[in-house]
Amino acid sequence: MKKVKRRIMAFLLTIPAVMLPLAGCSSNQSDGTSSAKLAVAGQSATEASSASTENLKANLTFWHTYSANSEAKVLNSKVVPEFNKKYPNVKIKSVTMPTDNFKQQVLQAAASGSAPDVMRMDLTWVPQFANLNSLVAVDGMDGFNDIKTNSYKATVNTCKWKDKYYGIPLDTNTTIAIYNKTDLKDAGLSDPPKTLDELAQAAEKIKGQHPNGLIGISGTGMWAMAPFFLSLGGKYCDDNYTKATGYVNSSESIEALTKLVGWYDNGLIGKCMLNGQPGTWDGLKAKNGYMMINDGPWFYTLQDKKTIGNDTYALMPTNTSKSISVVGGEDMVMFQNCKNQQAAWAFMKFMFSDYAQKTMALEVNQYPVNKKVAQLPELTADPVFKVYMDQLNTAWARIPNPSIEEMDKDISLAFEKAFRHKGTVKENLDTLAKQLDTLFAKNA
Amino acid sequence: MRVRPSQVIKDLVLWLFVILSVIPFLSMISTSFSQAMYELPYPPKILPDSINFSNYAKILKESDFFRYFLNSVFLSAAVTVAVLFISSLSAYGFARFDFPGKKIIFNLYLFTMMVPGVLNLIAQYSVINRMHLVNTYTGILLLMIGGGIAGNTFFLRGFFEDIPHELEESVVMDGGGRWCIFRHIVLPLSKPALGTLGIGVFSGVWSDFFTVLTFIKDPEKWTLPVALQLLRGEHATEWGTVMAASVLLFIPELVMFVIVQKHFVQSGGGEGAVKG
Amino acid sequence: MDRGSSHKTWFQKGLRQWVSVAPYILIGFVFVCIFVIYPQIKNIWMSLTEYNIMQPSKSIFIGFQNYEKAFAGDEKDNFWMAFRNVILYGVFTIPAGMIIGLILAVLVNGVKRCGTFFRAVLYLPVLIDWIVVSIIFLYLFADGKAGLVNYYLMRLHILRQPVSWFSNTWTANAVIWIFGIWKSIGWVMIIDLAGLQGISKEIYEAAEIDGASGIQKFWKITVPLIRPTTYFVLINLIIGSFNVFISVYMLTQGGPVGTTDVLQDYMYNQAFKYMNFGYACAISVITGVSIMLLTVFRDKFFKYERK
Repeated sequence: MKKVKRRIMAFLLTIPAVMLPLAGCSSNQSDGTSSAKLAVAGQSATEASSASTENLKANLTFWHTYSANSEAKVLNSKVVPEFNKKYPNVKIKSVTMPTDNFKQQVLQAAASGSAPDVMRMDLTWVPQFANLNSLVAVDGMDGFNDIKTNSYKATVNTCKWKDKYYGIPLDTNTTIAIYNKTDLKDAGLSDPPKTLDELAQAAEKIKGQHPNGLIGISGTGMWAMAPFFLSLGGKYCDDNYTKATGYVNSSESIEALTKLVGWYDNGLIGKCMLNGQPGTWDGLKAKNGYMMINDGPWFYTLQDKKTIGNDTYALMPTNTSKSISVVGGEDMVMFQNCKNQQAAWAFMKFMFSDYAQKTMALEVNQYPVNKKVAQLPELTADPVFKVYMDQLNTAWARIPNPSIEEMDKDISLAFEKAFRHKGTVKENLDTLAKQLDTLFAKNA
Repeated sequence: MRVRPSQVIKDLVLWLFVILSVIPFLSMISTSFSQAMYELPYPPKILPDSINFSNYAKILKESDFFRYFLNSVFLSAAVTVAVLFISSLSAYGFARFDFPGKKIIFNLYLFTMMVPGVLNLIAQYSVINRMHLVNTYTGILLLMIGGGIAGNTFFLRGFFEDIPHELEESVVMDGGGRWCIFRHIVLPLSKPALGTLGIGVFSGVWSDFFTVLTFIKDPEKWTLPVALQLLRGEHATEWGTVMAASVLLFIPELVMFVIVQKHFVQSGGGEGAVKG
Repeated sequence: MDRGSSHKTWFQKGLRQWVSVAPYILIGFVFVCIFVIYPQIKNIWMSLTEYNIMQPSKSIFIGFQNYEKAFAGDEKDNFWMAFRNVILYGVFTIPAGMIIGLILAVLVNGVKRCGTFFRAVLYLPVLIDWIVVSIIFLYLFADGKAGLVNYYLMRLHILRQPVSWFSNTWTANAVIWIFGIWKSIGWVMIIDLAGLQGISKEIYEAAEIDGASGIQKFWKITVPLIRPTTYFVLINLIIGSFNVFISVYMLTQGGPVGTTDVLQDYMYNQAFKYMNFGYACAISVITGVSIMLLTVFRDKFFKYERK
């Protein structure tokens, strides 16, 4: 018994020794030091860029949210091996991260210098992380200008924050209108409606059989609501994303939202908008469910041919001169703690290359940002692809601002209040304009 | 034998709650058999239309299920054993010793339980990072053990205080020390409490997703709950598969629960020893 | 001199006591200090700053501004709403969970056969993943006649019209509460069962000889003797209700119009969505202090002796 006691004591005595170094260096881990070092590394990297690709040696961690049994499979079995033909000594460790709590994971990793080298990041996050100084600006890197000219302007602009580019576009998407054919026919339409008013009139005709509503909008935030709000003539802010007053509370915006509120009161808008059931997909497929929803290309990629079939699709109907939807997608970014920026940049560039973009587009329907690939006949032959690409031409990019999530929360709440008649449309939009302007000012 | 009305009421209450406990669970199982890919059956069902194990087969075949399973078992078992050991030592210290600062330290423990843990992650991360233990099991083990001690010490102290002093005196008369009392009287008598706590700690670690994901970035070291989250897609989720995975996730927990209940809690040392 | 020596003996006595207790508590204490107390102290410091997560040394000390922001500043409406909902959650779930849990524990304890079956089945809700079971609840409480709960409540003539559970503040909160109770009963039962195990059968036998009825035994023996366990359960449920998060996040996301939001959800969003870390830390400190005050108040109010 005594022996045990002695052993425990011995163990305990070692603990303070472990603790001391900890106490010594409190609260200044991962300070600016790493970025200073990296700036130097970046310089030498550009100098050495002419070196043979075989000499490039690195282990890169690549985070993404590609699902393990579809996109990630193609990435790991086709794209990465092709990259390794050119760069045999750059090992890519591709990690599928869970989407839940993902931002917290990235933040924590970035803060402690343990972020991945490269990451496929939602485009709305790029200004947020750039503003935190956790991303490497890539404008000066070799070949950046080629990428810039060779990709769609809207997508490359998502990488921009305060006149610098912190990444390159990787993939893009938008939402289009998807209809239940039976419901369209019941409402007396042989083709999808061109204007939102026609859509509402058609819905009005058959609303008796559709107790949960007919137009499935999945929420009141920008992603879900913008295609409707903007196509009705509303605006969230000016075109340079600097000001909301005079835009979100302009008479056009008030009119647009008032119209939507009227449709909601009238039972035309589906219950899913305010967190009710059924959801958009279930509602579209259900008998007497939603007549129309809007969604991204994954609607067609993910589903089995058997489960859809009674559907048709078209550009978002619009009351203005053009059909407006919302831009989604991901960018490739490099974190400050990346040790071999040259290798990371090579990989980022490769993901933009014709081969990678084409493979991902053909195999898993990841929409290309590389203009050349987007015009390949293999892709444009697909009618679904074509509609999505047409829609992208006029799609709206959500406010590129580090405070976008707070803005989106404010927008979502203001719209919800209007729908629930907590205050008039005008009151809510006036308050919203002020809230948004405060946030714009914060990051100006 | 005559059936007493009070017994009937008791049984009714018991069965009512059995049913209420089971309904969502049945709904989960029937969804796990469903083949519709991205929607839950609408309207919802409690009982499945047909039994189809293809979602289960898919999980067992496609993902690294077995590796995640072993990781989960290792992590949960190691944390449970360590937390029980350290907490019971601490609880005994608080229950049977007098020392200056006892009340303060005990209240400090209580207070630590009260502050929400999510934000501690930021500071905990920097501690683990400075020990160079990010991405290692050692790091996450230390952290989870550290997090489990206060609450369990609190719980066990209550039990240890209820153990009659007379029992200990007999050991002292036989010439045994405090350690002997702890080892041969207190621990065996507290089997039900230890078993109950063990279940709690085990399920806590077993179902943890947040901490593991924050501290372990290496997919080979992930656990089942992280794998379960990986099944949820970027844009849509195959609910049938997720439900099947969560059924698989909780079966080992259930088995462990039944074993511990049978062998620790219900057979509990308590009474026999007190009487003896 | 005298005072000096008594001081010395007092010190020596304390030291001796510490030496004898150290093997038992020191290792736990070290763990708690490093992994819990230190992070929490840092948390308090963070709450007084505008915290810069990338470069902590550049954080700006701003005193109590974060607290002011919550109590009286820009965020006061959202904060108090979340605070109110947490309190209501506690008021509605804790007593129900504790009472039902204890009753079930007593009933299960009295079952002669299949005890393990009842324990396991009643413990099921605790074992199922929160996220998954939230999805199930979302579907059970679906809108319209298709929702299972609506369907049965209408069959039983409790409801005339189907309820849109998640569209109104109070029905949405009610579902969150029911979910909370459902999830906590099994845990309370198991902890209480462990407590019941510690009560000697002889006490009950003696009471039976004196002619006590079942209900009398419950009130006069079970309830008082299980008190330390009850105290543990209560504290844990109070802590649990201040930490309710996943169910709200999954069921309502705080809606309608933020009226079901709770502190933890609010704090998480402030920290990891909007990156206001200092402010989020202030919320976490407020949560901790509130729980502590509640416990102290409870101790004073019930004159509960913990020894």
